[in-house]
Amino acid sequence: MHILVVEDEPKVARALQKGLESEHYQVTVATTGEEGFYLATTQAFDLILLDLMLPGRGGLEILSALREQRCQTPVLVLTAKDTIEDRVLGLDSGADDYLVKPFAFPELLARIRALTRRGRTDQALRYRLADLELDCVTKKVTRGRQDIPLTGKEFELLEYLMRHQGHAVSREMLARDVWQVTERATPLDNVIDVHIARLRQKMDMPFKKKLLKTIRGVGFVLNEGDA
Amino acid sequence: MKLKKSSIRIRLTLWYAAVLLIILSIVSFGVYAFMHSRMKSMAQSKLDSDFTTVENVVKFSFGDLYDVLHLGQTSMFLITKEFTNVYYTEAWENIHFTIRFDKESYKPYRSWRSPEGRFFKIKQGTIPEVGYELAFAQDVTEIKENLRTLLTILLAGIPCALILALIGGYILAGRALSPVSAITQKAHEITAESLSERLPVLNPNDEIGRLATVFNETLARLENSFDRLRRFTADASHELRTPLTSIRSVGEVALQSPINGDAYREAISSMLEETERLTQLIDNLLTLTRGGSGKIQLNPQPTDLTSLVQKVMDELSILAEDKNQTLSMDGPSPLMVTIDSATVRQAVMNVLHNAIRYTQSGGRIRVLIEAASDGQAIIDIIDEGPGIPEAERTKVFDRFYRVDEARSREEGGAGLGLAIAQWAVEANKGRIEFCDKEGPGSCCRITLPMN
Repeated sequence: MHILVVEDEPKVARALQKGLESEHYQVTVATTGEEGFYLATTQAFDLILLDLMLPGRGGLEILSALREQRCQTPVLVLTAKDTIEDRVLGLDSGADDYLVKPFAFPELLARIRALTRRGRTDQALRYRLADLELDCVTKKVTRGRQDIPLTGKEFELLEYLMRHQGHAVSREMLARDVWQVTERATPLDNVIDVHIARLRQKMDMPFKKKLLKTIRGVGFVLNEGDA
Repeated sequence: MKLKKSSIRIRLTLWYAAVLLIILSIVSFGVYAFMHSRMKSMAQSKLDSDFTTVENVVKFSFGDLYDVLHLGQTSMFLITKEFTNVYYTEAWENIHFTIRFDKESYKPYRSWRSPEGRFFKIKQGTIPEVGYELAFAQDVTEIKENLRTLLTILLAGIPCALILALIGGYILAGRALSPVSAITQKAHEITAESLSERLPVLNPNDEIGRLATVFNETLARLENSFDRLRRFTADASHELRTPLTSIRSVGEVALQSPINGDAYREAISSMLEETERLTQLIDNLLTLTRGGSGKIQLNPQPTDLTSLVQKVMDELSILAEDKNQTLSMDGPSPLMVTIDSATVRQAVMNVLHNAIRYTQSGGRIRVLIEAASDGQAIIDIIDEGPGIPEAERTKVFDRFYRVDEARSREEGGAGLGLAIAQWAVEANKGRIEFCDKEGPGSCCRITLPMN
């Protein structure tokens, strides 16, 4: 999978490149709008990460130009501007998704996954990780042969973590996707932490192998590894 | 129109002069017309009385006109009979006027200019009993000259008066408008840096004085909000500096001496946590500034307030459970209010979150909702925390204000929760305040209009 990153801030560009490469994406970086436009029109990419504030040609301009040339590559816009009007403008210009800086890297990965598998239905009915099983239809969670009774919120939380298993999930993603809170200025972090603690108590504490891990400063991840 | 573009001073002067011109013209015309008609009627009545005198003499003295001459009252007249001069005075000879009694052009009075250039008023008449035809003359040359002098004076006086009016008006308007110039000058000098300055008020009771006073009040309000903004910026920088300091020192310490992988992980995690705090702080600040500048679009809809509060409680109840606190709610359902549910939800959440945070473990938090008789919906959120001293009850809504600095910082609050709640409630035309409460703890009351 080949991703074009158009970002003029060298530190951010380098971090994005390293982070994405460690997730086994192939990454090409363009540091100006012109370079980005040239690369996007001459090579085939699976996804474009586009900063809106670029020297020379701005991100929106490039986006419109690309769409005019019938370039269908999904574009994920990265920007520090987050008013509703900015979002609408970005999406109207042909962006497929919008991520506000500063963003959490796990969230960026989740969005990239969502964009690149677009078109395929990916809604599984049953998730499995080691001996943990979650059935989306019967709303049942089992570990080994043991039923694990969960409250509604705990089930939604686990389902979300299972869907992103192996990938870190930030509190912000949980607030938005599980709690459906879109305002960023709400005190939900403590609530999320307590729910995670309870979930862990039920599905991890009694068992030897721990699956739900906290990554300090980042969020949570459900995996079989040790970290 | 060009006049509209010129200064008030010039317009005032021109108006002034125009009005004066109209008044002067009317008065001059009136005076001249009056004098003219008065002179004319005086000449005519003199001619009439001469005619009567001569007529009487002719009728009763049987043609002996000697008396008339000796009466000395009439100077110029001519009597003819059948185109022959019967009698004329000495002065008449200079007039060179011939009586013509053609019936068509007969006029009792007529004007006559003698070959010497003198002007006369002439009256003609007949005495049928004796077949006399008479003509009387009155020299009106002086009167005419006087009238012409009057006209000259009037016509010359109007432009002179007009010039004087223009000059006087210009000076007068300038003097009347000089406070405006002073205000303009001063207002030019006032910038964001010198908002404490005020415009000069010479006389607070005249129009310009009132204008300056109103201006000064506006300036005072501006100064006030600039001060608040300045304080807010200073506070915000201070708050942003705190997590930045943590990030910096953790990073510097980690790099100071070689440490193992776990220690690096620890350092980076700690830095990321601070980054998260920074992000939240900036999100909160943005919410407040956008709210303050009206950039957030509200969407008021009829909403069941009780169920909205219930949902917030359900979300936060896990925090109360964690501290073994009892969370209870009492209120009528449904209680319909027209509000923007997202912002009200945010306000209730921030207040309830504080209540849970500041109430000790095992304490009790009550939420009471009621519909007051005056069309207001009231939400009381009553906790058993340390309470808020009466002197600080309004200050707690200020941005970055904390009752107990050290303690709230430990809890991770930035001191913006209540400021956001206040903005959210007021954006929905409601009120938020801390009211009196018996015993320990505090009672936060949110009042929202029901329709």
